[in-house]
Amino acid sequence: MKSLSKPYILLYIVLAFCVASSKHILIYNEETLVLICFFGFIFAIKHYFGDTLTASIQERGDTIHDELNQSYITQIHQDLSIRDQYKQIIPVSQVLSVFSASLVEQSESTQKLAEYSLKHQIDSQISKMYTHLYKLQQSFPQKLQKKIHDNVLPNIQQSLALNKKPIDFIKNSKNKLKAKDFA
Amino acid sequence: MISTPLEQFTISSIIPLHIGKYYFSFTNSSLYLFLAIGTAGLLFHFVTQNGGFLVPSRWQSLVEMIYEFVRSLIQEQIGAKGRKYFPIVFTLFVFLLFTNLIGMIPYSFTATSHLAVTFGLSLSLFIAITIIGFQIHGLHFFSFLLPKGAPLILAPLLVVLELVSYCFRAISLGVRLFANMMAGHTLVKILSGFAWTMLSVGGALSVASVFPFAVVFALTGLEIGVACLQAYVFTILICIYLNDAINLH
Repeated sequence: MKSLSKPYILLYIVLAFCVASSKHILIYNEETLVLICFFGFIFAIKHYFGDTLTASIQERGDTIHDELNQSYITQIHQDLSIRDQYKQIIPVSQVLSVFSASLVEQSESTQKLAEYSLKHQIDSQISKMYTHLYKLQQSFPQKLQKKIHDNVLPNIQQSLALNKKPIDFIKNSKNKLKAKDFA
Repeated sequence: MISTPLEQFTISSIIPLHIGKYYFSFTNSSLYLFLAIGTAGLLFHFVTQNGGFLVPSRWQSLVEMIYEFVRSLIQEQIGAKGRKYFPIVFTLFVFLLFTNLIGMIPYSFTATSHLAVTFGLSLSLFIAITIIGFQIHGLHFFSFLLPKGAPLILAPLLVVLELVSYCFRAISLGVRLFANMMAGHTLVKILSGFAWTMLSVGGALSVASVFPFAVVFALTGLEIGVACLQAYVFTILICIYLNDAINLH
C-alpha cells in the first residue's frame, strides 16, 4: 500500500472543504476565524518552540537514563570489589578453620591429661592416708601396752607396796591415762 | 441572524431528562466535563500502563512533571501534613487544566465559564476545608478569626471582619475562575466578530480586518496561558486555605 504524497493529501483536504461548505456542514461565521487563529497559534508554537520543548522533555528522560546507568555501573563495581575481597578472604578463612580444628584437638587432649593427673594425684594421697592409718592401727596395741607398762604398773606396784586399796588406784590411774590420751 | 457574544455560553440539553419539576438532562456542559475527565483519565492510563517506563517517554515525562509540580506545591504551602491531601489537590488541578484547555478549542464549550460549576466546586471545597479545620483543632479553630498579635480592644471588629473575609473565600474562588474564563472567551468572540464583519463588508475594511484578526491571534495565546494560570491559581489558593485550616496561624 503506497503512502499518500503531500500534494494528494492537500488536494483531498481542499475537496473535502468544498463539499462540506456546499452541504452547510461547515458554517462560516466568526468562530471560523477563531478556529484559524487557534490552529495558527498551535502551528506557530510547534514550529518555533516545538524542538525546544521536545529537547527539554527528552533531556529529562536522558538525565534519568544516565543516572540509572551510573547507578548500575556503581553497583557492578561494588559487586566486583566485594567478589575480589571474598576471593582474598577464602584462603584466610580456610587457614582459620584448620587452626580452630587443631586448637579444639589440643584442648581436648589437655583436658584428658589434666583429668588423669588429678585423678592420679588424688589416688596417691588417698592411698598414703590409708597406709598411715593402717600403720597407726597396727602400732596402737603396742603403744597402749607400753603406756600401761610405763605409767600404770609402777603405780600399781607402789600402791600395793603401801597397802592402799588397789581397785580404786587402778581406776584413778585409768582415768589419768585417758585424760592424757585425750590431751 | 445576529449572534451575541454570550451565545457561546448557552447550555443545551443533549439527552433531556425530567423527574418532576427537576431537570437531570445530559447537557453540553456535562458532555465537555466528561470529555475533560475522560481525556485526563486516558492520558494517565496509557502513560502508566504496566507501571510505565523506567526511562520515561515524552508523555510520561509530561505527566510526571505535572505530578511533581503539584507535589512541590503542597510541600511548599502546607508541608508534611498536607501529603494526605495530595490526591484531591492533584485531581482538582488536572480537572481544571483539562477543562480550561478543552474549552479553548473552537466550537467546543468551556464548562468552567459557568458560575454553577466553579462556585459549586469552590463552595464544596470550602466546606470540606472548614470541616478539616474543626476536626483537627476543635473549637480552637475559631482562634483563626483573631489574627496573631492583634490588640484585644479591636477583637470584636476584627473577628467580624475576619469571619466575613473567611466566608467570602468560597465566593471569590469560584467567581475568579468563572470571570476569567467568561471574559476571555467573550473578548475573543467580540473581536473575531469585528474581524468577520469587516471581512464580510469587503473593500478597504476587509484589508483592515487583519488588525482585529492579529489581536484575536494574540488573545488566543493569552487565553491558553490564562487557562493554565487559572487552574494553578485555584489550586494554590486551595492549598493556602488548607494550610490555614491545618496549621492555623
